[in-house]
Amino acid sequence: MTAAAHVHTIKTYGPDRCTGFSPIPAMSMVSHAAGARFINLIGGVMNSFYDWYADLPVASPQVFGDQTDVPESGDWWDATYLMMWGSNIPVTRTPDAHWMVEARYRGTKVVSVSPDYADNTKFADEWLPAQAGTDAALAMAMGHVILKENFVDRRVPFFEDYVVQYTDLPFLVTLEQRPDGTVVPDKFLTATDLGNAEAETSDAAFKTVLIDRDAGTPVVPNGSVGFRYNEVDEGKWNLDLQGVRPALSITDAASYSGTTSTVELPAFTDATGEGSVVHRGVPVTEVAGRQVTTVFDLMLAQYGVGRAGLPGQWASGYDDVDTPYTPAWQEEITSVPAQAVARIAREFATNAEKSRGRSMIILGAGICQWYHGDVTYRAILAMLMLCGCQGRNGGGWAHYVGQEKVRPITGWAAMAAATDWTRPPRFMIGTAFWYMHTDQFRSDGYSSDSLQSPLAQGHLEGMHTADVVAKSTRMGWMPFFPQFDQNSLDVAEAAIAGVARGEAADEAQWVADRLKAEDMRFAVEDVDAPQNWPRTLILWRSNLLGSSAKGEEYFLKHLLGTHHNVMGEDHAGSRPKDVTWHEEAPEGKLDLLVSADFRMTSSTLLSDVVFPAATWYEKHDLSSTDMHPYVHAFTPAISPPWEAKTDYDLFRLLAEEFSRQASAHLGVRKDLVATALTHDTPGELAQPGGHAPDWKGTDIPAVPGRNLPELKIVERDYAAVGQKFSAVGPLAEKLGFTTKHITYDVTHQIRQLAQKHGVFDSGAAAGRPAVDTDARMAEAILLFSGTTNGELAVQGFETLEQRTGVQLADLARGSQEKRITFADTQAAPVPVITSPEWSGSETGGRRYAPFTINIERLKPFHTLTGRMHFFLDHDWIKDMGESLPIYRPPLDMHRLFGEPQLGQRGELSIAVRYLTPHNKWSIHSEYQDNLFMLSLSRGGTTVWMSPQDAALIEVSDNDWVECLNTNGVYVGRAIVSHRMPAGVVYVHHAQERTIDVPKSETTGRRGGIHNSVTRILVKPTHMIGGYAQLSWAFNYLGPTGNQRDIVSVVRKRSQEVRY
Amino acid sequence: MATPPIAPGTDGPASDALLKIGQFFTRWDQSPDRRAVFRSGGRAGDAFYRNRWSHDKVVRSTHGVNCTGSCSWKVYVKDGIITWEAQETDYPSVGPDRPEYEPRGCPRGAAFSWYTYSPTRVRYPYVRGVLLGMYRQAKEEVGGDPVLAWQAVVSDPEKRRAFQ
Ligand code: SF4
Repeated sequence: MTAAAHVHTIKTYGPDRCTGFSPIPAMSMVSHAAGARFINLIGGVMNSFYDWYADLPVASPQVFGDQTDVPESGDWWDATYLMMWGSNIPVTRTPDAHWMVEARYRGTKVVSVSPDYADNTKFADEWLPAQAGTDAALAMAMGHVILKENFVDRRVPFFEDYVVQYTDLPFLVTLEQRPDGTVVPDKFLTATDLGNAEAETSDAAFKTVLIDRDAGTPVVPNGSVGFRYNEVDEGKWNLDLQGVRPALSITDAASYSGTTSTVELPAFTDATGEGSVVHRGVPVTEVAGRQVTTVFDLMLAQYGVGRAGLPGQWASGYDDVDTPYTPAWQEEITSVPAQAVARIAREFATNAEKSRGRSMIILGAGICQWYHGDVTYRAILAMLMLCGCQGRNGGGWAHYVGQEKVRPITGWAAMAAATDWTRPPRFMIGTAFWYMHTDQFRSDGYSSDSLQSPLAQGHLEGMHTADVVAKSTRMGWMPFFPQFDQNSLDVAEAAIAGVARGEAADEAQWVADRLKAEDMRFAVEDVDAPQNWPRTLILWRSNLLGSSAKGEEYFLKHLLGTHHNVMGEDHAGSRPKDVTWHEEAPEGKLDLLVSADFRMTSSTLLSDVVFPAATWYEKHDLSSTDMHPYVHAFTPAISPPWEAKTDYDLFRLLAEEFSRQASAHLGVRKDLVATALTHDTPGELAQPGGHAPDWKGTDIPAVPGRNLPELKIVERDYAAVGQKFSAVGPLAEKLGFTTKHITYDVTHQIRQLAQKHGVFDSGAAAGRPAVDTDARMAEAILLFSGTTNGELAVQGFETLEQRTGVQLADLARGSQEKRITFADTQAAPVPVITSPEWSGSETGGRRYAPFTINIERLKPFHTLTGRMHFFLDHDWIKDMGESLPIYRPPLDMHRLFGEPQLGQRGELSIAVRYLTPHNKWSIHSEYQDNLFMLSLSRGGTTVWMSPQDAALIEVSDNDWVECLNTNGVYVGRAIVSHRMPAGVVYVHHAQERTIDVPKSETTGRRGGIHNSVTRILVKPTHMIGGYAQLSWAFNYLGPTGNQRDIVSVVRKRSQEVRY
Repeated sequence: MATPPIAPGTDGPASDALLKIGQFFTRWDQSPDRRAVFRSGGRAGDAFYRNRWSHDKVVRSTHGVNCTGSCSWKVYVKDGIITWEAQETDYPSVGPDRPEYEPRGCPRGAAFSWYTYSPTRVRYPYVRGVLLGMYRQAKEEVGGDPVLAWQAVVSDPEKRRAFQ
């Protein structure tokens, strides 16, 4: 029946109405890859998870051009100053916490920043109790102190040498004079602007410019993204300054004449989030007829650190309460004493100077998962970059939220995406998928411009968030599926026929013409029309509806069409313009929800079909993490009991049954696949300057791969899916496997695999090596990855040497003969090999720290400038006021959604911040239903609250309370603890419906999970694409499913509960 | 006159007398000081505990729960039944001048094997009853083709609503 539902959906609506969701491949790579392989072979859609979980720190792509790369926990030992910021190490990183404690015995000072007296705070030497959600204010004030004391009062050579080589601080930014005479920072100056011979070079619009300190002239240094892809610049993509000493400030340039300009900068100091403008002077000079300054000069202006001779409003001292971003200013917001801030910032920088960058900050979900979490992270990363800490053992950021690191990445990606048979796959940004398809956009009452900068120029004006999704789709920024309002199989065939009739040069252009003429629409533009609904959804290794489903009740109402607790109405006032509004919202879009699990969860309870899965002690698989450097195996202790099956076997059987049915109903079809402009491909050069005018409603042509998604025709032999599933396809040798723009030639590996596993002798996979068991797929994953196959690591570095012109292959040459087999990982955990798939080096037995290759070998970051970015110049970022590190308060849910104001009282109720941190007795939803954990913990759903709030609503410990807002209701027992600050409740992450959840008094229906009270809040700047590091890649960039800005009413309820 | 050395503890004539009386009622082989007795047999009850902690094989596995721990575990099996798990300790060393990764684990992971035979275990495939009934009926009506049967169920709005 499950196979039949897929065949029918593909035939009737198109393959991109078949969807799958399974997160975190690293936690069991084969199990993930098996299901993803099935979905991708049929042309279905895999949803992303890292961004959807809000585990993705969007600041990482923005600043580093990297999804996330962090040190192993063993490197905490190398730190000589260690901050923990919003990360509760003993609870959420239990096996690794000992390193933090041991580092203290070695003399490392440990500082904790957390709103509550958290478990990790007990271990800290000092505690900075910043109010929840205000961390960026604290970080900005620390940045203020660091800049003043190390870059202005005194110029620390260690820091200065670092920032001119590895960050964008010396790069030039143009100043724009507006018609009203005001001046604002605009864009990076590029070689194109120079108008000389440099402007004629390849990809000049992506080559950024700095000033030679000694000569006073503009220089286009190697290493920006303009040097990355074209043939002429081979060997020049590196950070070698070739003897040029960049001017950090315009005032450093020999030619500086003393000219200044006052620029306007946005600030968001008001708790309502309302923006204001500050005026600060920067030194300027003229280059090719444009007024320019450096990013560094703008940074000092932004942080309010004055220098003699500059106009504008500046901080009078650290005790200046009114001027952002001084220590005294932040005290009003965070409650952390100003002196403590100045002292810690000073210690942090002094330690970095003396230890050469060994100050480390462990960051976590407590600060990442806010709407403006990216901004908070950028303010904290700024501290680390200014102090020369990134790319050092014992230094830099250490972001731990989610087990995202698949060390053998190339092999896993190939198996999961089935790129050995067909490319490109259909990968979707999870947050936008659920936001649109669960109709949360319908009750989303604020338009994007309500959060924009007072200096905005209207790029987001009047746009509903659904319009943002629609624009991002049609501009090729982010993917959206289903693609079109028609079956993509029919579109492909029509396009081929159209080209045959001579209507367009190729199929992609034929489709582009239809879209421009509005003969055909993107499905997102009428997402509620039945032909555009997702029809099947398979969950495996996933408890979507017991865990990550932000706005859970909307899922139940619109996607599933079942009982729900949604209490709000569709928003009448603000409606999208580019997305058709249906008066009647659809309920029950899915035809079929399938889940595979070994235990009963909130998701299995809601599924139409439940498959019994093998546990972790009943299958072969692989595990890796960013916390330690090993790969190691899952091995079956027993074979799956009863009718349970491994995920691998389940999907192999499903693929085979699907093919049997498809041979009569589908056969061989052509499919048209749309993909977004992708990071680490030349597609990221599509839209220079981060300025991309819309082709819709204008006379700008729509060009695939430029201002429209890439459109490709692929062939799908639906009857052969079962055979292809179990064999490695021929594109492996033909096209190789690519990770981060390095293509690995795996011809030799294919031969090895064929010898080891044998080849199929007939059918679609004739002659192809077998991966027909879970253990064999594990072997293939290891064989095709550089981290686990030294031959490929060396090969990859050699490829990269050609592009960069710097020496790299020696990092892996000592391991060239080394190959980690599946049997090795079953015998013991095996440390991985240094590989260009990641940015750090383990060579010589050192601990893994990210970006050490960039810093030590001058390999560029995957960003616009090739350096780490303080400044971002995309039109939308500018309009949001986030070009530079800044503080933005938590969203004002009263203003945006009409929720009660914080602290607002009702009879036995109070409005509070509703936070959902992780739990000591469970991991996500797992273990909380386990008998042992139930015995150790209180058991059942709980709400942690402060004695102050409890007293106000007359609640004693263990009383039943309800948390509610327009999104839904949660019922639990109060845990009244002095650990909690007033005004905040903690509802621990993913407490399921299956254990002790009574009916709510408010709706009469069963209370929900923690995410029943949350909703999806899409930040428009996360939807940007097509521009250098701000380009899409799967789980690399996309809107986050953040959930920490939520406000809920907590009320005492009747102590009589019914189930 | 030299005082006799004081005997340690509570030994003395009184306790000797008590021990003698005790042994009058229960006679076993004993040590010369009467402080220890030797018995044989009577240990049948221990078998239960010994079996509980004995095993036929130990298998390496881990937990796939997005905990980031990725700890390696020894899983113990007896008579084809998973009995318990213990932390692995064989992580390659990280060097002489620092702590090691072994052992790794957390209390939650240590409780995992409970799930194998727990009441919450999904043992068999489940299908929504109403859906299965309609699907089987449709399959009969269309002559056995599963795709046409599915189509018949989901293209009928009432039927579709009935199982959702
Ligand atoms: S022991 Fe705990 S931290 Fe380690 S893998 Fe298992 S669940 Fe994760």
